[in-house]
Amino acid sequence: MTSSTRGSRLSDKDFGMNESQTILELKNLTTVFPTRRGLVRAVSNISLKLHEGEILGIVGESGSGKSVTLLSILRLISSPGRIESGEVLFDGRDLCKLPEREVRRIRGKDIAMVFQDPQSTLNPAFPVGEQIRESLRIHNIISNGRSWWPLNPSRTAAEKARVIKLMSEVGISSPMDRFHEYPHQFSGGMQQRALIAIALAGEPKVLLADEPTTSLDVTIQAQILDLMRHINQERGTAIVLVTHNLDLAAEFCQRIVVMYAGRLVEIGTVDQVTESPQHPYTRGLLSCIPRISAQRSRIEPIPGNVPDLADVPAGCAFHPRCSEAQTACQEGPIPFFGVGARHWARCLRHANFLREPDWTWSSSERMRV
Amino acid sequence: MAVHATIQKVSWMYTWRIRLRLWRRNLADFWYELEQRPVTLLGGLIVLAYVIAAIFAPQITGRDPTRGKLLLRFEPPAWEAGGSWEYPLGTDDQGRDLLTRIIFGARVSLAVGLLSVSASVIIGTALGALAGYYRGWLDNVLSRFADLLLAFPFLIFAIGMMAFLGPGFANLVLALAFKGWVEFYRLVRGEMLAERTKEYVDAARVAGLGNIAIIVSEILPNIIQSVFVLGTLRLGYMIIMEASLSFLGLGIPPSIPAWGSMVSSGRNYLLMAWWVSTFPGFAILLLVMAINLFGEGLRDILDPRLKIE
Repeated sequence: MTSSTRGSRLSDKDFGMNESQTILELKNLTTVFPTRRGLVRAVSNISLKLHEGEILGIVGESGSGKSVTLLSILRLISSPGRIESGEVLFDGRDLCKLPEREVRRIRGKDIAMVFQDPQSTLNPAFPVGEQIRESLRIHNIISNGRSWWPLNPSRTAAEKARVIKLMSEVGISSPMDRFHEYPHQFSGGMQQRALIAIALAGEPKVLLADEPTTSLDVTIQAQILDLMRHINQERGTAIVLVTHNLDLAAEFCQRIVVMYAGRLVEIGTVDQVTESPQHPYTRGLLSCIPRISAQRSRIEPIPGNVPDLADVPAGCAFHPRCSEAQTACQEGPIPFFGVGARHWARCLRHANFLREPDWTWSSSERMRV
Repeated sequence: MAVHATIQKVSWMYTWRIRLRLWRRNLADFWYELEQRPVTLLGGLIVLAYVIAAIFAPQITGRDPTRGKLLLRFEPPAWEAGGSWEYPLGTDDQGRDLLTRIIFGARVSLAVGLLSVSASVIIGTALGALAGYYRGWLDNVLSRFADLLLAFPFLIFAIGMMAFLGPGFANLVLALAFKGWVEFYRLVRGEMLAERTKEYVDAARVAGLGNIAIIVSEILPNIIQSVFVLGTLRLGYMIIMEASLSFLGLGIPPSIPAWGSMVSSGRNYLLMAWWVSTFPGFAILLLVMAINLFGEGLRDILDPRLKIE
């Protein structure tokens, strides 16, 4: 699918480091939306750690709370939804408790985001180059002379030079001319590249990507993923990729967490999750992927539907659809069980080995991925 | 260092050259669209003629619109029996040249129209944007107040306001704008409700922009065209309102020539000197029609969504 393989990600600097630094941590994060039918827990009690320079995939069906998790990180849940409890630790600070001004300073600068539909994410009223320039200006990336004065020629020129550099970096050809073009004059792939350029303008440490390739065709998808991997390697930007496509996550990520009904159900490295999935839901997702080489002619869908988030089944949320469900699955919160080194699943079939995920993640392990 | 400065200077010039080229191209596009619509173009030209007449009124006529010769009362238009080209459209009951008064009357009509529409646009857009973006209690309060104003017919409301404030130029603009903003409020609020859920607003928030910055620099540029189009269409209506109020003696004081009061003053002599009322009325008709033709064409060009097939 992509030109670079997983093994080629090694570089000299990976050797000799033993512990990767945690850059973003979610602690028991719960986001709720009050509705007429009751309180919807779109994200319930999620704990995650993102390490520096890591690519983490969040996989799940639509409505499993992936996007809400991303929005909660940036505290962009719009009213009446709210973050009920938990912490989002970035740089040692809890984003949930910071004043709005401080969070705004972090958005787009330290943590940037790329959206699903580039067509509607770019503002149709402005040339693309101006929109990239704006993201430089918001965070005062180029402070040259009077920062607030927009008609400062040397500053404007410096900004423009940076924008052109960004545009060529994300692979927009002839950026000098495309600077002045409007979003509707860009193709979908180019629009997504422009959005990535906007996200990169603040030189973020974390890039949140909310299904960045869903609206693109497969060839462009591969190009965009290549670009994001390139950014990850060159700049060391940690990436969180949200997708419903487990195959794509397997191709792109180093570590995968699987979400179901607003909860994490499985955590592990790519190989662990895709080659020996331990939660029945993950297995179901894998068997939904059509394969060219497969013997069977039909893909097997998971029976049943995603539960109504206002009325999630007690115990394991997946038990009504699970072929291996026991009576014990219907009660009590199910903890994580260790099913392998750095591999956890929230499934009672593994109840012999109770272990909370500790998330330590050494760079030697990262190399193995 | 010098090289660096030169590069920056060149880059700046390059930017402006492209920008100018783009503006010129947009203008060319607009002109092309305009040429496809001769009726719109005609409307635009008539409006332009009125504007020029209003600006250069003293130079065009060379007569005082307020002073007449009582010996020359009710001179007929030039083509009627007894008329002369000295007074092409005849004179009124005080012997004042009708053409001069009509040309000077364009000043009042256009000024009142433009000022009251501008005031309405500013108030309506600001309040509509705030209400549509923030919603909540602000939206409730403003929208109920707007509903209240909409429950009054415009003319009745304006008559009431003018009776309360007294006639005068500033009062007239105030009275018209006091009710005129509601239309713009409703338009902008509606557009705002639609735009605020779009993804580019989320993207702007993700980029770290604050609410006011999002409203002003992200959303408003997307809806300003509809506001502009509605403004053009409301201009004609405001001019009719001004004329109606002046006709009723509640608008512009009689010392200033205004079309409404001219129609009103000629009403008493309609049987013996039809031209005194007819020509100012025709001036109103032509201007408002031209504005509407131009405005509708503008709407078709700028806002294709609203096009009526």
